[in-house]
Amino acid sequence: MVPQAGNETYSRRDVLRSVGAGGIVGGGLQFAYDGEGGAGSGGEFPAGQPDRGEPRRYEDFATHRVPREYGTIQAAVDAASPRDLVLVGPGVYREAVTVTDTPRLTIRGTSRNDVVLDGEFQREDAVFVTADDVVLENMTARHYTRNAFFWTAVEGYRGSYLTAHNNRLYGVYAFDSVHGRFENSYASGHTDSGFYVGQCEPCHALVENVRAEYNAVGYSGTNAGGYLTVRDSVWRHNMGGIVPNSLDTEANPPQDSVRVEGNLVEANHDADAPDSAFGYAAFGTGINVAGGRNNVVVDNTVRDHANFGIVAVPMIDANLYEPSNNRFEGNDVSGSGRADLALGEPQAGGNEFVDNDAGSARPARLNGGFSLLAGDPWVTLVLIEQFLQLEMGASPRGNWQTAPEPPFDELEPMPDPERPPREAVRRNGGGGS
Amino acid sequence: MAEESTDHDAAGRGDESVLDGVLPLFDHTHDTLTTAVVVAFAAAVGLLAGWITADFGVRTPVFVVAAVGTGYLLYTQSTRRAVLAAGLYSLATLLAVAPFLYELGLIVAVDSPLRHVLSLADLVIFLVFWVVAVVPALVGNRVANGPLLPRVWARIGI
Repeated sequence: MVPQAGNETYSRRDVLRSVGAGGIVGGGLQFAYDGEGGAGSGGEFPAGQPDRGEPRRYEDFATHRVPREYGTIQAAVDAASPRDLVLVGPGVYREAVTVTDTPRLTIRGTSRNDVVLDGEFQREDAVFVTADDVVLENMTARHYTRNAFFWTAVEGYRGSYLTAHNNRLYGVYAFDSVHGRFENSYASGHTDSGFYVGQCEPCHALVENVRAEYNAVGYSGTNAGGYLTVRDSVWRHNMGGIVPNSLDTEANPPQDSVRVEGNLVEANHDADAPDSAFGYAAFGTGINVAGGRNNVVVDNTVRDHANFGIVAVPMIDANLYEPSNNRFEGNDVSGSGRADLALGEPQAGGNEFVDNDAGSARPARLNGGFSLLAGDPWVTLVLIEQFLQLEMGASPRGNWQTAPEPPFDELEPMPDPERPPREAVRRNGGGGS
Repeated sequence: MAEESTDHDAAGRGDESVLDGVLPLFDHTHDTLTTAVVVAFAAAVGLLAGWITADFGVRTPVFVVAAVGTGYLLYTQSTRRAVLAAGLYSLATLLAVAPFLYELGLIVAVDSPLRHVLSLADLVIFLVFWVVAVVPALVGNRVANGPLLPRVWARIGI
């Protein structure tokens, strides 16, 4: 998604294009043999973000309490200095907060479920951040007409113990930003993705221990990769699960080098999930590499999808992006309607499916052995047809305003919300003490 | 192209055996080229049938059944021309059936299938497959019956 100057329209609907309209014509009969090595993480940057330790706490900071000292969160933000903590008590805050000139600020709720920012279906973003190293923790945002928690063009960001639900576009969202982390957070009821990391290479970002349900897409990462890991999270009951993708509408296509590891991805074929731009094109797919390359998808459990469990397909925008050099290894894939493992045609080669526990594949023997087809046009056809249906306005979809609310009692609160603030992420020469 | 590739059994056996009744293949044999056409169409039909049914996990048995069945069907044809026409008709039939199987793949996998099918996009899928299917069907008809248009004009009195 591209923030546009002037009207500040943030929807990608008008610029998204189909996954692989060229798949049918490009699907020539080829001989392929799945060999060892080579695929995945062969891009300019490695796919995974290495662990870099817990963020260091700030020693010198002031705490600004809402509503005890300030009537609104915005008033506290405006009064804060870098490294300060805006500590928000229980209540419903009917406001839209912007953080534009206070880096290293932390905004934290004292109770994840009881500190609620409410857009009342009128305000755009719950928290909109353009300052570096801003941390948002332990609060809920609902009913905004754009996004819940949104960082753009920043170096350093973190969202922890956040709940985003029933906002029109994205839940927890970082665009054109690097050095970030989303963790222990939840997103549901968005017409685009619950969690989004877009337009960054290298991203130096980590998405872990999050849960996304009833969104158009659980995770979307347009042109995002390089030191980027999505791991140990739950993606279920969205239209599509985890969808790294390439688009010309954001800088630096194609998408390159994300590591998707250890996730539970299940039943992403909810026709009642809200959708506006992309969801139905990925309907019924668990992990869907749409025009990406050099990605590493390992050790995930993927089950019960109407179309494909794990799939790589071409993506067409202004250009055609064929998936290449992606590695899918050690995944447990089952219960897919069409095929557990799938590779669409056209594809640019080097896509390897190795040692996956899967019951079916398109083309045959994708998981190892001799195959007549390198990729299968049928796979691409499925997603093209769904995209056409979406574009024609005939695809099923739910209403973002009435999508199911989160299971609040299952959402882990932040331990010790009164503790000192910490830097966004730990990096060399970072802002921690 | 040879119009007649059927030869009577060289042994000239006149008595019909039970096997001959079940497998009329032994009523005649084809020359090498016609046999090759049979094998090629059998393989193509088997592969295509396996491809369009792969969503249901029956790719291999469908390939075997379709290839053997098509081989049998084609080999029982009396002429190479008939073999070629039947092979093309077989391919056309499979292509025409493909969109039904495409839709069925999703219908059996979702709770409310009518929300996903019967859209304009689905109609496009049907049209694409059927347009492609028309090609081998027309070629097969041409091979079997000669030029199509003169027959059409004659039928409608032009």
